[in-house]
Amino acid sequence: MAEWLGRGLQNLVQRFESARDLNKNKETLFSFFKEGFFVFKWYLNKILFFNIHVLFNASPSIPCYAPLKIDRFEIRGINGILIFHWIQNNMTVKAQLDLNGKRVQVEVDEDEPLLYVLREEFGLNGPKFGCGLQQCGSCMVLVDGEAVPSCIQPCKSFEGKKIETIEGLNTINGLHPLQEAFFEEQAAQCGYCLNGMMIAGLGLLRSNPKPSDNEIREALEPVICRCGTHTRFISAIKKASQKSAKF
Amino acid sequence: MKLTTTNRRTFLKTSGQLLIGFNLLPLAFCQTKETENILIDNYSGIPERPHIDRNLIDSWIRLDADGHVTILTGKQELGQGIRTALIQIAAEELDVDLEICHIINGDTGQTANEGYTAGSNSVEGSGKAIRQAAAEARLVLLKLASEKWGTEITGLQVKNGVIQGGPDQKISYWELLEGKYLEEKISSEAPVKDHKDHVHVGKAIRRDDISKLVKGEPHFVHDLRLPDMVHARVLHPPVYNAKLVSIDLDNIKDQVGILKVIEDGSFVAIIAKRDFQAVKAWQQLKESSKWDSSKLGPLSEALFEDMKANANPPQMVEDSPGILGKINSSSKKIKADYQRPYHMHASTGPSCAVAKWDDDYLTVWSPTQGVYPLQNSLADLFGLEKEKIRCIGMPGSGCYGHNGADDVSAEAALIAKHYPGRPVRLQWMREDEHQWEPYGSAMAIQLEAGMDESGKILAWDTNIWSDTHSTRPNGKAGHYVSARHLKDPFEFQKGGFSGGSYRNATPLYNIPDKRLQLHNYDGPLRTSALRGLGAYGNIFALESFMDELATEVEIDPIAFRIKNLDDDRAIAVLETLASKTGWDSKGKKPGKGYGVAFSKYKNSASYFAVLAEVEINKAEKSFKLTKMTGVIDSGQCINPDGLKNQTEGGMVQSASWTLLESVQFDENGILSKDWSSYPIMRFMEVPEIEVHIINRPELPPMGAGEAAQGPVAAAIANAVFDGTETRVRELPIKAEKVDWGNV
Repeated sequence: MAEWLGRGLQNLVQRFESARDLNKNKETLFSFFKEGFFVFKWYLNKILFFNIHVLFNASPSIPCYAPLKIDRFEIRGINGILIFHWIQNNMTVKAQLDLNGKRVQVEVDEDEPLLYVLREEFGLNGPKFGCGLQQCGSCMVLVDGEAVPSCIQPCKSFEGKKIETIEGLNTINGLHPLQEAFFEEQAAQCGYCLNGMMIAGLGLLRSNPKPSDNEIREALEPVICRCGTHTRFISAIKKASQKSAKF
Repeated sequence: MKLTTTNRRTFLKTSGQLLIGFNLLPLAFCQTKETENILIDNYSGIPERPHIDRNLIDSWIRLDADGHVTILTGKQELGQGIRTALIQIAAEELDVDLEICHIINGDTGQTANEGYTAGSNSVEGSGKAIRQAAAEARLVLLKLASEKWGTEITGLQVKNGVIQGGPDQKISYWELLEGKYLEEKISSEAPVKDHKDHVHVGKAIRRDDISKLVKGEPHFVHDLRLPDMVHARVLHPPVYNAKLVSIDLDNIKDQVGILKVIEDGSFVAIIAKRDFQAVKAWQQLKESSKWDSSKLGPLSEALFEDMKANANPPQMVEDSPGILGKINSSSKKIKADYQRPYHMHASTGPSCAVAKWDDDYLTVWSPTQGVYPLQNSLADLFGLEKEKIRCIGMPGSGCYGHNGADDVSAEAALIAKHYPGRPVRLQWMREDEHQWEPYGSAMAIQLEAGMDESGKILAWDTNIWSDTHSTRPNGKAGHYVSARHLKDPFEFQKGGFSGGSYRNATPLYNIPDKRLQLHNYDGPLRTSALRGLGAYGNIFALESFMDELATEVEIDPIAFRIKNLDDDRAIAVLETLASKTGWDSKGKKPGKGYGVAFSKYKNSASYFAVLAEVEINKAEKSFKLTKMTGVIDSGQCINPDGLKNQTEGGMVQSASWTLLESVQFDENGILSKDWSSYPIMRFMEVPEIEVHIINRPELPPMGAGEAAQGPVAAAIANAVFDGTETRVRELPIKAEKVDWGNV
């Protein structure tokens, strides 16, 4: 074993050796193969597969990969090649979110976008997966008062920001003026894009409570509607702007 | 209202005979705990039970013990507002308030088989059945009351489900029924209300589901969260008919959250604990997979040439011997060729379905247009008796025909088979949706006509080249793309070409000699039903051509159409359009273009006329669609706001197809994979929209959902011609096709 191997990995190998009762005289070769792999060669005569998930701290001599999560290792071929795979992105992280006025905490995959967390961890239905490419606006949420897509940006990056969804709009007193306006104007056909329309509209009304038609169109431009309900969305936002002076 | 003392649930517990004769297994299967937990409409006033016979009232209308009415329809809510319209119809005939009505959409465990929710047929079909059933139910209940009191039916009145006889005689429907079901046959003799007495039908009743949507309440199949549900993604091939050569599954298998990797021939899928874990694995699978694929062709440039060269010999749909001679001997004659490209449904949300296997029972929650056809096709796919499959219809993202809804349902079932006992939710990625949905077929249409000097059309000859407009998997598993990718693949048999290709191709105009020939063509892309089917291309051509004819004889386009029409209702929509838009004063204005078009959808459904207005910017060599005004006559209008909403939507969608859209592909596959490679109309381009309704409450309601698609395309083409003198005959109508030197 080379000195620079972290203790965690050494432990892992020791555990592996004792578990498999390998020949003590085996010659162990290893090389730093490429990012994401350690390759060890053993003189073995059978193929073995393991599913071992281990978190360990690698030695500082392995640049920038600490802490690593070994996802899996396998032994291949008659010459016994042991390959350790790690996936940096499978790190789970804790994120503190300010969601619809409540402080909540989640532990999720480091690069899991906010959208998935909102739907899966918090059971929200408003934000929807439309394209996953920030092209359609179905997944819009309000972040510090601004309408932004939630389908790509990792959940963690929303820490310290105020996140609002349409679920947070209605109060014990009933519907929010924007919700009322969308219902009264019957501004939906299939309704899949409704969330994006409402959030984009709300973002506009927060900064501009009396927008012009053109300003409404500009604000809703990022949101795709395939049923062709556009003119009703414009009317609904106009109606909301007449209902209330402040959003 | 005082409720009856017999509670329906108690009644069910103490009674068993009502279930005799049913197949108990699927029913028992229906009533699993999960089903109760996931009811998105949280009203559960009636216990689930299958319908027995569509001729019984109980198959359409159920009155439970709680003073509620449940309406059952085999049709799906696709965003067209059918739930509200059907409730209005039922409440009207039953004399009950709308607030106590609930509706259950297509569910093979509960509702009658009404085929597909397609062809703008739901109000005409399901509406009619529900109207009759409700009228029959009311009659049965009145008879019960009259027997009870020994009075004549004619002396009885109903107010919100309470029957009133003499001063002391008052009883509700539910008290009368005492928990019994309405199992009488629908005789179709029960009198239906006169439209003058209507209180619900014809009113702009607001859709209740919108009040839920604005609050972010669960509504879509995407929102289903069943206990122990797991998430799946499917790896579609890069192009049609590609075969999987190799894929690195090992690298995926042991990743965090991955529960199962499925490889069956060229069908590859993953199941994960969390949705995002499935997405990540899908991405990696995509990168590591190698495929053997044949080249796609002919490509867009050569497509229309190939269509004309290699189509099947023409099928004579309507013959008129010696027609070409008649055209040639007419004093005015013209001929023109039109084209439409492949168009996408391009629903905003990707296709999604949930499937669960329990032993050999399968349940699928699906956004399909037809739960029974889905059940049939799944039975074929799994070699299973239909009775062992339950398909529950759920709203999906906007559905405008045969999109990915059926495919995703079959795939969810295929995947779930590898993970029995757990509900598996499969959601497509955006590129799956864009690449794999069946498109509306590209078409070429050639028209030739002869007129007399006065502009009376004498003869009209139509030739259409098109791929099929219907490949719905109605009982055949080979129609599911992924069934073709399995190790033991199902073969796709197109099953002949449908009449969809020549829908609306026969002019409604009064023309003595008409001929129609269809040249069926096997095109390079997967095609099926898209809103309006062939009518979109055919009306675009027909109504553009009408304008060309009008120009030829220098007659006002509305006057020219009326001159060649006999149908009063057709004339009425055109005249109303002229009066609502001030057509006569529009005249010729610099920098403006006006175009009209008309059709009676399928020549049997709604009448629709539209005016499109464009603004011409010669300096920038561009034009903008600024306004569209439509007039629609759908006979009796059930819900004017619903009708307007759907018509407005059809107009915008068709404008988007017409101005912007064309599926792009090269020899390696579909290039239109997302919203930037397949742009659709967004807010800055959406014109002002106005819709007027001609309500004819004395006439039957007619299908309306697809009425706008064709006329809008032609109206825009006609407006562009009016404003620029360029006749664009090849869709989409883009500014670069205009001869700006001529403007």
